[in-house]
Amino acid sequence: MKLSNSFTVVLNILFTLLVITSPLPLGATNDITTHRIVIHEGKVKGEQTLKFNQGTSINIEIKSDKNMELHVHGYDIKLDLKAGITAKLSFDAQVAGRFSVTRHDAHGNDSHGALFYIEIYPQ
Amino acid sequence: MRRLGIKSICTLLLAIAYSHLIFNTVQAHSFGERYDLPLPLSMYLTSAAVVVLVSFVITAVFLRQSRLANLSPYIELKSFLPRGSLSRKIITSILQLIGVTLFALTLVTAYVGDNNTFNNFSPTFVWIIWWVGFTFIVALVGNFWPALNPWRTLALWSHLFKVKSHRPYPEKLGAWPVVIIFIIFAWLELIAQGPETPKVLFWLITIYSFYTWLGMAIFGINNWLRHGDVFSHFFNLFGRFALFNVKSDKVQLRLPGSGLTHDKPLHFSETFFVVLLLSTVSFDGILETPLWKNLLDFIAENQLIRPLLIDLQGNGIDIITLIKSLALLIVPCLLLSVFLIFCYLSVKTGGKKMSLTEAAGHYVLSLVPIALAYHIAHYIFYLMIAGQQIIPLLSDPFGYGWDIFGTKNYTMDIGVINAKTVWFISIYAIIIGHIIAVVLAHYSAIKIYQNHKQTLMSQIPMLILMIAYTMLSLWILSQPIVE
Repeated sequence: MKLSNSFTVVLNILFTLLVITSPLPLGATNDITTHRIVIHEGKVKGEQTLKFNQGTSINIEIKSDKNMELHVHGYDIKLDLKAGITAKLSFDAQVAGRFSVTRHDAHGNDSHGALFYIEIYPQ
Repeated sequence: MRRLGIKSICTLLLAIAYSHLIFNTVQAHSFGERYDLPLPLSMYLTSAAVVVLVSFVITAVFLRQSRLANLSPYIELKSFLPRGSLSRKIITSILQLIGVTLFALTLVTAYVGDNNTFNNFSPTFVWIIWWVGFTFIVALVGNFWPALNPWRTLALWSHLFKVKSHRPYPEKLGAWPVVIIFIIFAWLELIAQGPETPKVLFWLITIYSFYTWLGMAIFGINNWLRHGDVFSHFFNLFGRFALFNVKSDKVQLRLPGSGLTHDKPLHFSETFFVVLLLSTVSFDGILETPLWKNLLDFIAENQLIRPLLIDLQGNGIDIITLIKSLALLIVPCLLLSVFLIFCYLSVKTGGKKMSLTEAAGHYVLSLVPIALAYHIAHYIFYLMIAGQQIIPLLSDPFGYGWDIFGTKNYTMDIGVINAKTVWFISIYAIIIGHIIAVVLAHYSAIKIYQNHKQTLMSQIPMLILMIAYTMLSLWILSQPIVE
């Protein structure tokens, strides 16, 4: 009998956990609507993980010192970059997750694979 | 008592199942790609607090209940499919047929089909559906591998292995052959690039087939499968957690995790096998953490070993692969050492004289739920997304452009499971896994010590180890995944 009581206690703790964590903020909220990414010699200068809220529109201005094709994994978006010219990456953050952005010609399990990451947080 | 428990479980499951499903059709790219979001700090901290709290609650329960010494968590709730019954025979035959058919399909597509990983049935089937998906089913539902095992079925059907003069499996070997083969398998799964390719996969499967049939020829089918076969060992271990226990005389329904109780301590080679399994489960996650990436960068840029690295690279050895391979060997040894230290502490505080390997053999199984919980948290998102690749592949298994079932143009839905749902599944799995682990460790201790106070004293080091292990899992989950 005692065992079942303790079991119920533990389950109630877990239930409380569920209730407590639901309204907790679950990720960064960004007020800035446009981000800038600068790629120099195959690496991104500065912040390598951009965070967004699910349901918002994403706008990222990207400039690279060399010609390259960028690939946003998950969303499967491709973006052509010409050296020195700023291009805009825009899409709706419909699905939550952490998505890598790589050079399209350099795929595979290369440890220096991703240029930067886009994290979209659920609300 | 049981009815109350089941009602509470159902309520909990319903509470877990709140998820906002947003459907979006986009196409994902690389093989085995993952989009998991790191576990938020708030959830990590709350889970950690709950884990510690719950550990003390359980210990307090055991402290009060000396009557629990006579109870075992292993209760058969119901049994099904007795030996010899028609339904059992039918189900077994169906499973055997399915196993052999999928095996044949895998081999043929791997050899004859398009050698591109994404267009061929075999890599997705073997590495995602079978190795990840089927393991989930075995760990949660029941170990159906004996019936599905194509090598066993083909051996049985061929009547070639029924020779009377089989050698007995040498006891001294223990599970060491399984340990060695599993290390090789883990290396192929986690580090090597080749096994994603259909042709390479074909040869690997062929080599393994010869190896296992040779084992069956020498020792007999059942003896080999019980002692020397790596996959049977693996599924048997995870199957011990499952709800259903598939035995030769019946199928039992039992409490999850209760199959991990035992009467005798494990032989040291078996203990090592379990520790190896636990390490490879965490290892995959560790390889994707920024900490690991920084370690690799540190080694690559270190001036002291630079000449050695350049020398190795000149000989065609890839540094990253070398370091990962060394880590694959080091991590289990590290985990084993830590585990043995805590076993030693347990024995010392318990006061009863016992060899270290004996203590380890008693406690190691109680760590399995923690590893399993992490495995679920780590792979659920992956399975739901990468697993969808099988849908178009079923229509075009060879990559020839067929469309048998009309699903050839199915595009992956990365929104099929919400990131929030995954987080909640992860932390619930980890907390529940931890609870079961602590309960199991207590029961092991009761069996050893019989005396109440000794049991509790001996459990404190184990409790600390389990909390640490669970924290490691939570930490890995809170790390952003770095390619």
